[in-house]
Amino acid sequence: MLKSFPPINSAPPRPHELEVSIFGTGVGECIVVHLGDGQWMIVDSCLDPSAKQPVSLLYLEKLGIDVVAAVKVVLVTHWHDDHIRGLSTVVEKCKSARVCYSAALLKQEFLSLVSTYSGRLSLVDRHTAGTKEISCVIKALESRVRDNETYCSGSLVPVVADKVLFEANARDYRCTVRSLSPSDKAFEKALISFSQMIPDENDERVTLTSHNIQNHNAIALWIQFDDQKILLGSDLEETGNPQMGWSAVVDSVVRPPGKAGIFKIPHHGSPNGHHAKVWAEMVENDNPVSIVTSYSKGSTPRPQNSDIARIKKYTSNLFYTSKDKQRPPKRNSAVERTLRGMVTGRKVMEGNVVGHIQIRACRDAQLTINLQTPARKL
Amino acid sequence: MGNLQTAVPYSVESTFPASAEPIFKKLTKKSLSEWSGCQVDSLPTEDIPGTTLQIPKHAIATPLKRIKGDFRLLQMWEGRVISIDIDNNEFTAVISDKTNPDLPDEQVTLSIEDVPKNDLQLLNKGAVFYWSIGYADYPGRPRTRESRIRFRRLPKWTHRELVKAREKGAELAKIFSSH
Amino acid sequence: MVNPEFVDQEASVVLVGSFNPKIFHPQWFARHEIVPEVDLDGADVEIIHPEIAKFTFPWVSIEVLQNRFTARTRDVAHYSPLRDLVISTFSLLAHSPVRQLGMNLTMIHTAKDEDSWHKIGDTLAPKTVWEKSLPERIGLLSMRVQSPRTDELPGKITVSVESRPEYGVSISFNSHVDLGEDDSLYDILSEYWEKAIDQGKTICETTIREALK
Repeated sequence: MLKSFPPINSAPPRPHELEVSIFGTGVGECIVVHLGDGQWMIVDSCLDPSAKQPVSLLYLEKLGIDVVAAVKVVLVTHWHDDHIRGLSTVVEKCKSARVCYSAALLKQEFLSLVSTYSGRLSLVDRHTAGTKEISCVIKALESRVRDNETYCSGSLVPVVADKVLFEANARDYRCTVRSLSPSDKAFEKALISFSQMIPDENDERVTLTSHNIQNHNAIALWIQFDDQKILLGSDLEETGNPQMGWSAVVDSVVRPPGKAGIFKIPHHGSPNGHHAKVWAEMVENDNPVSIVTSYSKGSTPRPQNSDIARIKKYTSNLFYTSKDKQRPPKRNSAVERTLRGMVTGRKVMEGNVVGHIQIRACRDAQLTINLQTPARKL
Repeated sequence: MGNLQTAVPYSVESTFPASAEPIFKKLTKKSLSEWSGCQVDSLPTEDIPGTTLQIPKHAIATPLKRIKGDFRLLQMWEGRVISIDIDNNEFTAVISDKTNPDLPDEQVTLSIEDVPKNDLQLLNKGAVFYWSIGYADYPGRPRTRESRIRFRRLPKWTHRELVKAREKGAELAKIFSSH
Repeated sequence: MVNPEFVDQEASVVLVGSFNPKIFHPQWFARHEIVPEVDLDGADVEIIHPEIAKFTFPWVSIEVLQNRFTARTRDVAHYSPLRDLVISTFSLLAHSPVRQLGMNLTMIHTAKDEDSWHKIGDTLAPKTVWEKSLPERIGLLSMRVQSPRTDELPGKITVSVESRPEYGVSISFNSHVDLGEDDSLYDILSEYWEKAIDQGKTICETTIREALK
């Protein structure tokens, strides 16, 4: 039986206590996981709208955690700009961390793509984050490798399916973090996509929009902390191809056994992230704690009401990081009159406040869930 | 401040050869001495404003014809196109406020009709545009509130750039594969 | 803190190098799609000659000498397109050597009355020294100050103040960069143009505001 939802606990978790904290800003998201004994993992990155700093670092610093020493894994599930804002700061500060990166992002095709868009005449505005941020991350990693020849062997980890990214076997707890994707097929497809995205000579110079980039290369994670199992779905999609996406995960013969009691729903609850077999075989049947992060960009913000209705067939414990309802700021009255006459749809991309869902559990104890508005239970 | 009307007049150094004098006279009905050529000593990249600066010996460029009229800017955004809906004659963009940079980005849907005809070929996913709203005051016309969308024009990708990027990509891949 | 009002402003990019003025004409810009075709309708050519080219589009004025290229606009909404125009032009003319770059902003303030106008001059250039030897009321005509850049680029920052008729004060900000052989004009303009304009605006506002205190 779950408790009610008090505010976020600002004391750090106990050494053998699991924590999964999921943050959402309306467009960005990130996840912070306590791996036991004061060791932490940061999955993806987003910025606090007011502080303009990575949410993960602000949270850990608030808990009194020394991120330089305590963060052991930084994982980049994929390079969509809503998952990597502020990532270069995270990588630079978390000097003890292994940086786990989808393997395709360390290959020439992707690195050439990023080099193309971060060269001269890069379109310098705030939101070429799709290449600007990742190119800063690459520069930080490049500099570390050049300073330390052995850096790559332990600290820069190319990730494909079925790789153990972290393991701890202590007296009071055990913890394993394993990747479930991307599959070999997805890896190959990603390399082809990246090559195709590189412009040709005499093409117009435009920004790289992430909407036309597939999520097949995203890293889904399986975390086992004692008896608790957590499935973090990232933005991994399902296309019906048995060699890719969720089909490849569910049908993998080396998939870890058991069912997750905590499920971070893939791709903001979108239908293309849904796979019935994942719910049937990888997630607990009895109202697992499920979290969906919102995405307000594009023509179809997610999750839609239909997405929520679909998910609620599987669980009544559905939590949502949400975006607080922020009206567009009022500008000069002449400007507002012009906007009213010209604009047929208008919305603010990110809320003012970051929604936070904090889940903690000790061995043999019940889960506690704490929320920070606008996060809420649906 | 001082009154410019009583300032000491300046002298002009010509940089054009005397043989060019008849050409200039014919073309412009001005004499060579009325053209400038020299700039300020220490910082040649200063723009010379359109009025006379009282610096001895060096002349300023004669002012260009001032553009008639005025546009009083009220608001400026930089936008990126994220989708185009030809059927509904609309496009959607994320706009960043350049006038108040602390305000959050917004997503807006605009009519393709608002794109200037000459910029339509530039309306593509990922294209960047400037959007300004202000009051236009031009001689002979009443003041109007104007919205102007102008797509960014940058040089096209060159072969050299793309080759250099591929080389850099290969170099990085080699660095990262050393494990 | 209320910022002083400015009645006019102009931004410009000035390049010092080696140019061929006769190739610069409105049709060239339109043909290479640096400006839209419609800008040709409002183009006004003063001269195109091997030693000098001067013409305007509706939003920008261009002047080219053999050793100097200037593009300027009074339209605040076109400060970024001005940068793009220069980048596009000199991407096509990559063989034209450019040794120095100036990113400039001039703003014109009109003082509310004669006393305020003189206050600005008196604050920026105190007259106590001059009054000992000059008989009449002394007025500041112009002054210039210079300081090093605060970033990693080689060059200087210069600010000039100049008196104008009808209680006007013009402040000009020049962000000067010396370009080395490996320096890219395009990279620097892409990265620093907006910063230079913001910096210029702040300096102009601060100078007048402080001078009026």
